[in-house]
Order: sequence, then structure tokens, then C-alpha cells
Amino acid sequence: MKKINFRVKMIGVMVVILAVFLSFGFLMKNTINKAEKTESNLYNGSIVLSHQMSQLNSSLLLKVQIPLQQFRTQGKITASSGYQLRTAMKDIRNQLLNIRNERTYTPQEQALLSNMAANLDDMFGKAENIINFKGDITKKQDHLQWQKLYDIFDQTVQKFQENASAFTLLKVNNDKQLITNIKAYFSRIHRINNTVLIIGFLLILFLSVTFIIDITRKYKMVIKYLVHLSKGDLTEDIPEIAHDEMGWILRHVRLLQDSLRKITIEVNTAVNNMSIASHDLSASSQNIAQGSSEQASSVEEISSSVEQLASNIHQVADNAKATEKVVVQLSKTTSLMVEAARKSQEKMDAIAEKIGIISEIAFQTNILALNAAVEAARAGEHGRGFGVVAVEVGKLAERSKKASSEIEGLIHESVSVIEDAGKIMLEVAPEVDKTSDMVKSISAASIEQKLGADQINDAVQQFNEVAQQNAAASEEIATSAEELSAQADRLMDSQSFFKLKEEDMVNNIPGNTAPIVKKKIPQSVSTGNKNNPGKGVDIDLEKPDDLDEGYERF
Amino acid sequence: MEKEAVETVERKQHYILFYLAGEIFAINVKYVLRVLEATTFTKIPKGPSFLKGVVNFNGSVLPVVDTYLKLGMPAKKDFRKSLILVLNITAEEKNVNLGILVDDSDDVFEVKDSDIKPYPATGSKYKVEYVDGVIERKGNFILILNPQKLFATEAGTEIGNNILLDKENQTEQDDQTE
Repeated sequence: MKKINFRVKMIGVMVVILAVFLSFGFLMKNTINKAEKTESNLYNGSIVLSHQMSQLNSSLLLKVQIPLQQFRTQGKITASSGYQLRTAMKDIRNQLLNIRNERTYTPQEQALLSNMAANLDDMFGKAENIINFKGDITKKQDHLQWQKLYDIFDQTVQKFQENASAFTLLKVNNDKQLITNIKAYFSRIHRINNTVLIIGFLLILFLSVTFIIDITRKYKMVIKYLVHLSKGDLTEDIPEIAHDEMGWILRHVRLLQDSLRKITIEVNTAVNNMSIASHDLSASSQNIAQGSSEQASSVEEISSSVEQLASNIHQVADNAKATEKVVVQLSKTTSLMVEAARKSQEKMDAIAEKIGIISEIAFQTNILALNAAVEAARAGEHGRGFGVVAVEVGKLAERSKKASSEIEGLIHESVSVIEDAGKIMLEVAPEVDKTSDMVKSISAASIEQKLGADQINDAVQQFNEVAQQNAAASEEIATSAEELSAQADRLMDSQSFFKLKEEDMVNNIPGNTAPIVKKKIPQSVSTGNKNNPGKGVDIDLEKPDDLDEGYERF
Repeated sequence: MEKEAVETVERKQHYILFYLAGEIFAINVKYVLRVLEATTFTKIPKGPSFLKGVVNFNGSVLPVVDTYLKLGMPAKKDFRKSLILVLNITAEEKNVNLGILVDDSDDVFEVKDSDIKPYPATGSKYKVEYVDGVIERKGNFILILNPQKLFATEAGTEIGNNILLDKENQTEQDDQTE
């Protein structure tokens, strides 16, 4: 019973119904056939027969008796009328023969009918006698004969009539009997039909009710589990009921439930993760927002600093320009100084030359004085005074030599100093030029720096804008993250629509699908205090608190 | 030569002071004929090693002795400020004029003979027979040289008068450093 599916059952019920109807129809058809047959029998046997009998009687009356009675009164029978009479009698005999032959009769009726035929023959014999009567009715004897013939004829007619009425009566009685029989038959048929109908109806009712009860039971079961599913209740396991369609539906409902469980678990995990992540994101983005605002203020500070820097650079550029002028002046002055040093060296050289002359003169004088002294000494006592003079001259020469050599030394020193100065100046001159160039390049560089500082300033402004945008964006992100968190909570609320079994909540989540990273969160979220020992105790213990706060907050 | 016989209580003689390589020497004026500039002196390329060159003295060619070589002093190259003392000495019974190169000379002075102290024989730089004595003057010890003995060999050497004054030799004089 369990393995038969609804289609087969339905077909079975249909077959039963069909069989019932067919049998009923067959019965009905039979009955109707029978009724028709009976009716036609009745019609043939009763109505047609009576009609024929009456026709027979009437034709007997009209064509035989009445002409005969006319003949009786007339007293003679013409040949033609005799022929007519015979023909009529033949017809009547044929009619009776037809009546007899057309249908079957009971033996009683048969006897009556044969009586009737015999009577008719007798009657027609008598009629023949009448027709064949050749006497004269005017004559008393003949008339009596005539009358006697007629009386005999009337007697036969009487007999025939008696038999005919007896037959008719018998026929009526028979028909009555037949009708009674038919009635009984029909009532029997009716009973049978009723029985068949009742039995079929009961069978159909039983089958249908059983079927409906079966369907209803399974249907209710399916509806129950579907209602559970629709209420999100995934706790109850759906049993295997049967192998029929409802069982199939239920099996698929169970598959759906399994899928929903899996999905719910995964979605729960994901939602928890998302919630945590969105909280983190919210916090991070708030941090970022704060950082961005700080950055923005820092950038503003940088901007002001850069502006100050730009103005400083501008000042530096101005100073560099001024310095450049000064350095150019210095360069000119330096060349002038070099020139002056050269000139003074020339002068010194000239002085040295002159001093050389003096020195030479002193040298010569010294020699002269020496020679004079020598001569004076050689001259002896006479040359003494001259010798003294000579020595004095020598001393003068010595002094002037000394002085000139001192001057010479001084000049040499001066010359060397001037030379050094000149050298230094010459050395300095290119340095000064270089300095000038450098100052020029500093000036140019400071202008470029100014531009650069302006660009930096612009960039910093842009940066500032970006930082403010960042701040705004991160605040938006924070709001979005909060919204996301709210959405996650809402999703979690929505997801809590699906109720899972305890073991599903506890065991299934870390089991097959969720990776290790996700493990902690569902554990910590779903079970709260049932933490896996030895895995990130601090974090796991703290996280639910955060989440709880988050839940309270939202 | 004793041509002055004037003997007072203390005989005074004139000496000419000259400098050689930082040392101070004196020579009796009686040997000195003249003081000349060294610029006039001409070097002789292929002469004897002691002979530095020749100088024109009153139209005659006078040999100039390399005093530094003679006294074992470092060779001198710049003679622009140098002087030449023209000496008249007697060597091998001949009166010979001879020039000696000195760095400088600036004084002629009288010295009492008693002020002349003998040159110590031992531990001295120069041979005793070349030095007549030592005097002290203005805190300096001055060696009094005896040119007759000192330049005896140089005076004895014949120097040909055919040596021509060669002007190109003047280029041998080097640049001064000071």
C-alpha cells in the first residue's frame, strides 16, 4: 500500500468507477432491451392481436354476417355476391391464419385459436351452404330450410364468437399475467441495479475516502513541514513517509530543509563575520576619520608652514638678488683691487729699484770708504785724519746700506704681501665670480623653489582637500559600516527566523564547511560561553562582549 | 816688511775687517792695496781649482783666489755683493798682487799689538801658521790672517797674462736668492 503511488491509486479508483458504471450501464441496457422486447411482445401479442381480432370480427361482421343477413331478407344470393362472400371468408380465414402464424401462443390459446379456426371453417361451411342454397324461400319448406341454415350459421357464429371472446379473455388474462411478470422482473432488475449502484457507490466512496484520507494525511504532513519551513523552523527532522508523490515532495522538502540548514549555518557564520567585520570596519573607519581629520589639520599646518616657507624662499630670492648685486660689485671691486695691488707692486718695484740704486751707492761708498781707509792706514800718521773721515764715511755708507737693505727688506715684505694680496685677490676673483654665479643660481633656484613651494602649497591644498574628503569619506564609511553592521544585525535577526537544532548550532558549524578562521567567530557568537578550549581564549572571550555591545548599540 | 819703524810704547797697526761665511777675519792693511767690487771679476773656466777667476786691476790681470775653498768653507756662488781684496804679498822673493774673495768688508780699525792674542795651536780649525792671532772686538773674536803664509802657494803659481777677459763668463753669476 505504501509503495503504490497516487497515480496508480487514482487510476485504480477510476477503473473501479468505470467498472461500476460499465456494469451499471450494461444492466441498464439489458433492462431497457428487455423492456423494449417485452413492450414489443406486449404490443404484438396484445394490442396488435386485439386489433387483428377486432378487424377479424368486424370484417366477419361486415363482409360475411351483414351480407348474409341481407341475403336472408332478400332470399336469394347472387353469384357475384356469393363470390364476394367467399373471398371475404377466405380473407378472414387468412387473417386468422396470420394471427395464428404471426406469433407464438400458449397451448391454451393455441387450442382456442384452433377452435376458432374450426368454428370459422364450420361457419364458412354453413355460409357455403347458405350460398349454395337453391330453394325458393317463398316456399314454406325452403324458407324453413333457409331459416334453418341461417340459424345454424348463427350458431356457428355464436360459437366462433364465444371462442373468440374466450380467446380474447384468455389473452387478456395472459397479458395481465405477463405484465405482472414484467413488473416483477423490473422490480428485480431495479433491485439489482440499486444493489449494484449502492455497492459501486460504497466501493467508490470507500476507495475515495481512503485515498483522500491517505492524501490528506500525507498532505497535512507535507503542509506541516512546509509550515515549519515557512516559519523557519529547521529543528524537526522530516521522516520518510512513503514512496508516493507526497513522499517525493516531502523528501524534496527534506532536501530543501537540509539545504536551508546548511545555508542558514553558513549565512549565520557569514553574518556573524560580517557583523564583526563591520564593527571592526566601523571602528577602523572612525579611526581613519579621526586620523583624516588630524591629517587635515596637520595638512593645514603644513600648508601654513609651506606658505611661510614660500614667503621665506621669496625673501631668500630677494636677498639672493641683493647679494648678487653686492657680489657683482665685489667682483668689480676685487678686480680693481687686483689692479691696485699690481700697480702698488709696480711702485714697490720702482722703489726697490731706487733703493737698489741707493744700496749700490752705499756699496760703492763703502768700497770707497774702505779704500780710503786702507789708503789712510797705509799713509800712516799722515793719513790718520783722512782715515777717520774715511771710516766715518764708511760708517755712513754702512748705515745707508743697512737702511737701504732694511728698506729693501721692507719693500720685499711689502711686495710679497702685495703679491700675496694680489694672488689672493686673483684667487678670490674667480671665487667671487663663482660666488656671483652661485648667488645667481641661488636666486634662480630660490625662484624655482618659490614655484616649487607654490606647487607644494597647491599640492598641500589639494592634499588638504583630499584629506578632508578622506575624512568625510571615512566618516561616510563609518556610517556605512554602522549601517552595514545594522544590516548585519538585521540580517542576523532575519536569519534567526531559521531555527536550528542545538547540535547543528554547536557541531555543524566548525565541522565541515567553515574554515579555521571562521571557526572562532561562530563559536563565540552562537554559543557565547562554550568556547573551544585552547584556541585564542582572550580574543574569543572578548569578542562576544564586543558583539554584545554592538548589539546593544544597534 | 818693516817700512814703518815708528815704535811707540804700544805699536798700533791698522787691520781691515772682512767676513767670510759668517766668520769675521782681519788682515793687516799693509798687505791690502785696494778693495774692489766682485762684479768686475771674470771666471777662468780651465784654471787651477783654487783660482776662481781674474780681475782687471789698474790694467793688469789679477788672479782671484777662492778663499772659501782655501779655508774649507762651503762654496759660494753669488758674488754680486762680494768684494775682492787686492793683496800685495811676497812669495818666493817676488812681490805678487793677488785678489781674494770676501763676503763683505766694512771697517778699517787700529789694534794694539798687545791686544792680539795668540791663536791656540791645538783644537783649532785653521792651521796656526796661517793665523797671526785673535782679537776681540765688539764681543766678536776676529782671526787675523797672515796672507803671506796663507796664499804662498797661490802666489807662487804663474798665471799667464794671456788670459783674455771674457765677457760671457759674467753669465756664470747666478741669481740672488734674497
